[in-house]
Amino acid sequence: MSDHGIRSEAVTENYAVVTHTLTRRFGRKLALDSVSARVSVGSIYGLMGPNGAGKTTFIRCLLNLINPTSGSGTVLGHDMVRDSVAVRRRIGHVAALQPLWEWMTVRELANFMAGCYPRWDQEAVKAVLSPVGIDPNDKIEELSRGQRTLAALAVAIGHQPELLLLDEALTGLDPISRREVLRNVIDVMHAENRTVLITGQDIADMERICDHVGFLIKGKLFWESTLDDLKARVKRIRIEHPSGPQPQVPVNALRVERAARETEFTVTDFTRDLVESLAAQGRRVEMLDLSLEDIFVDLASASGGLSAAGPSANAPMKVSA
Amino acid sequence: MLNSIDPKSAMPIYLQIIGQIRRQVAAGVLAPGDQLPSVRELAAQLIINPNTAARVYRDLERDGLLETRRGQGTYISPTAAALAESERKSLVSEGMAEVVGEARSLGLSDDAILKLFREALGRRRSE
Amino acid sequence: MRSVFAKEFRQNHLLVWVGFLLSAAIAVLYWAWTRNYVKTIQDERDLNAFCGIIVLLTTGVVVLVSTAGLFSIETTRGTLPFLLGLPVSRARIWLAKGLAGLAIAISSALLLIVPTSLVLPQIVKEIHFLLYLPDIVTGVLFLFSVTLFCSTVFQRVISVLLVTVIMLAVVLIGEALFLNSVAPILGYDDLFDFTLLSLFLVPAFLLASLFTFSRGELLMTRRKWGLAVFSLLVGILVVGFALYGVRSWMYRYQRSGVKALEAISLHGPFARSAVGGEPVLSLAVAGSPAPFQRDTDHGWVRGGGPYRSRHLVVIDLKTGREALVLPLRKNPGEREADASPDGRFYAQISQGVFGERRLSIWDLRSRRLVHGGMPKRLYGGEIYGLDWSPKGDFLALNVHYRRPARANGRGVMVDGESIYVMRPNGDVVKQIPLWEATPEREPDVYSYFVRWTWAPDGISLYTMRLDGHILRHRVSDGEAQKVWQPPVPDVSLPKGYFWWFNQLIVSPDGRWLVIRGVARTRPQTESSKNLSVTLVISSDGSRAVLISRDIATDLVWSGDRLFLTLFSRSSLSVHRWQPGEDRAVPVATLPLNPAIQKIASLEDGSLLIWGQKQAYLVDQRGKLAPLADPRMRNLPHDYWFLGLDSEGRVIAKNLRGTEIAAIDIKTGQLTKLYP
Repeated sequence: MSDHGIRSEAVTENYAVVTHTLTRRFGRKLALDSVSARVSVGSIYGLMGPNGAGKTTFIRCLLNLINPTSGSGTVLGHDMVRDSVAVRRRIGHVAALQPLWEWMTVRELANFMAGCYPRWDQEAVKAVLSPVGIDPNDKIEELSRGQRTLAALAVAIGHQPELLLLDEALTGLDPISRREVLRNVIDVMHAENRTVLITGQDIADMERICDHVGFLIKGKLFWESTLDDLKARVKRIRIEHPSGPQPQVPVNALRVERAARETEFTVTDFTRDLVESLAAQGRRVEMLDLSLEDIFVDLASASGGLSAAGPSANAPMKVSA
Repeated sequence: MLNSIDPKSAMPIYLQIIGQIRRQVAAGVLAPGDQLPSVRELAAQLIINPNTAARVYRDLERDGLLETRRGQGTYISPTAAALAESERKSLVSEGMAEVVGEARSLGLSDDAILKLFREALGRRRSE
Repeated sequence: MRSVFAKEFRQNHLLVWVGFLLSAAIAVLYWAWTRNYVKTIQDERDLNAFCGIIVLLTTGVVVLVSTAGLFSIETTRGTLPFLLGLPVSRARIWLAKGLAGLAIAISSALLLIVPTSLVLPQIVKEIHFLLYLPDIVTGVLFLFSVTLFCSTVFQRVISVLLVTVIMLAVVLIGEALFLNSVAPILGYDDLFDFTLLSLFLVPAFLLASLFTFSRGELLMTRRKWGLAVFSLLVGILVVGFALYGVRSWMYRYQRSGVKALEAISLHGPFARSAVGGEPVLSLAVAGSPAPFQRDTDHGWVRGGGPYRSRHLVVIDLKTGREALVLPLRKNPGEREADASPDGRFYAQISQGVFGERRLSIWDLRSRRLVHGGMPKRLYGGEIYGLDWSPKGDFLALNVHYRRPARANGRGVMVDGESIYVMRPNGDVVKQIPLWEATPEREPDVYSYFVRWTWAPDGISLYTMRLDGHILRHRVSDGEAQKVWQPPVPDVSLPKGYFWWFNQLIVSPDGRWLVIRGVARTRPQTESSKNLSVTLVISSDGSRAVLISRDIATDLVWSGDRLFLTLFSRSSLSVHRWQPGEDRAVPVATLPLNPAIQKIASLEDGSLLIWGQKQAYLVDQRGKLAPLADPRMRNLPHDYWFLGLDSEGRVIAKNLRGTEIAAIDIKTGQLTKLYP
């Protein structure tokens, strides 16, 4: 599970985004609850969570579109509140269905953006547009939804941002546009020290490209690790007991399903020892791999029962790539 | 050369790709000297994390299946052919071990398992 | 930042076009509605005001509409998060948008001058229009800043327009109320002061807008609204208080520190005040502690400073109480005021914002304004020469008017002057035409200067032209009666000379008129020969007596006797005429030194001569005596004669004009009345 405190080892690592107990309240609603996230440089970080979990709020805090109620954060080394202009100079962001100025042509939009940033690579912009047949002279109001997202992505990467934020950018896109967006995102990673933070609910796509994941539910970041680590630690265990008493399941097991002769449960701290200890009782023990979606569902359903007090004693620590 | 990967599968993506490439080498689809797409191209084609693509090539290079020529790209190494045979065998034996394990867990005896193997072999020849 | 700035110009500003069309439509409609009125405008002040209104309407609308969408449209369209996601600080974004909006507003406003000029050709010809340019510029700036603020706070363009219009209405109404009630006391008297006030508010609104945009959240949460409104209110309150404080400090009306008093009128035995049955004295009181200026034309001292805070105070002489306090306009020399002889009403002519004259009539009993007071043009012209009829039923004044007429098929403007006789409530009961200048007919020069006065019966007036033609007009009748005209008996007018009669006084019993005139060679030159006449004419015009050929300095009736003071080289002599006599006879002689300030007739028929050093009494028989009491001797030296009250006391003010006193001439006792 994620820990809620600040780790001193963080300073030796290279992070694109670090937040410390970032909290944001809207009236009575707590949109972000003491989120301490870390996004390593060179990774593709997927921030997952259901609707209203606080993903967009998180992104907006990074961009300083809104101010945090408490807590702080740095993006690429800059304080995200005090140096917000410097932050935005080095990052790009694409939001789902973000309205743009309809009357502008794509070219005008690119020129507009070019005027706001210190450097601009028009060729890179064209490289995003031409494969999907977007003519720079097209007006934005003429573009389809998928084309708009790609246009927004094109102008977002024109200034070669070191961090790219995609906030639900794949929502509602046709498969071709979605594939194009992902392809371009991956292309961004080709250069040195590029980082991508992608939020959304397209877990299947995130599974393909993310190497780090974070789960945000009801404003709390309750898991953050590499994808491999996640899959290694969260597994489903099936114990067959055709005869004999029902086995005891570990305390922190999730989604425990009991049938007459078999019991299944998900563990978040899987080790070989666990299997062996369970098998030692003479039963047949199997471990099943879970897809990211399954993992997400299991962890989400359990998060309500998690206390905010801190990690449990035998919970693994957050790991970075 | 476009391979499909199943991100949901228990097997990590990089292992899936490595397996596919190994199979293709074993089957002779990929011959020594064939050029493979660059890490960037592979990631773009498959829509996977470039780190994953890099890892695939790193592991394969470590196993001697690939070689990287500076400034030119990545190619199937000449030793791949030699590895092909052992590849084939190791791939099949892996599969066999899995089947045996499965059969045993279902309670079949070794004799029963052998019998099933023979049946499968017999079936094969008549096709 | 330049990108943001440039984007505003390329943005599809539908609103700007809407604003243009709307403004042009308003201009055309306003012109069509006032077309006839425009033709009648001759006074350039009126013209400036009219043009100013048109320009304000058109530029105002276009500024309002084009600025309304500046910020709110980003919120409506949803592009605000994108804009704020750029690496530009919010303050810079605000500045870029604000400057672009201002440039668009000003250029649209300037462009509107062209079609407006076509609609109003006078604008192009009228150079003085440019004098109002500062006011128009500040008006545009003010409007722009208010709209900008509302655009930052509200999300929808419609809301912005609505709220801005409401706010402006509130501000304008507030300013109008301010002008009418508070401003005169503080000294605000014309548009320039409003400009200053608006200029103070402009930065308040701009800063509030910047503050709201920089500190506010992405969406309009209640906190941002609260912030915006709060910051604006604080700003306005601070500015308002500061302004009020500064003004009040500079122009405080200190009752105890009255600096200069100037009597406008004193009502003697005729007056019965409604306030206490005593005559009232009206004074002008200057409250400004600024240094004095000596007004050599009028001989009195008044407070200086750019904005003179003046009040008219009507004082009950018996109690010394202020019966009424009225704020006065600037240019006190042009202002006239008088209470009706019965003490019921008080009429005042003041000069308004654009220099137009206003007649205000107050009911002293109820202290309410019964006529006029609002800054609108009355009678279409200049008004002066206020005079109440002796019975107090009517009020007469000169009115110089202009009216449209047609001549040779063309529309022309006609000048003229009449005496308007009206009731205290402002109803005009009679107009006595004096002269009118049309393209066909120029009035003769004699009718330009007409002296007139009420007859003691209170229902008729006498008018006398420069050439001595006297007419009598009854308020109730239509026709005027001829009373008298030259030739002057016993005098032959030399060739090339003409009469110039410049004084007309009626006796208290109404039986006699006395007129005084000189003979002149041509207009505008002094008389070459010393030919001066004083005539007494019977009220029916049947008899005319030349009673003196000397230049009389003063003419005073006492009962049915007429006293004249005449200068000779070494002395001043008092002459007296009685009915039945054919000339005025000398009755007393004074040394020349004591300059006469005033000659007043007392109730017992004697004459009080108030010199600048000493006072004299001429009794019924004509004997002259200085007033015995030693105290009386020097009082004229220190006190300026204002009038006599009902007890026969002299009401006077000290030379510095800081106090009013009553002097009993029999005992010499001085009683301070005010303050």
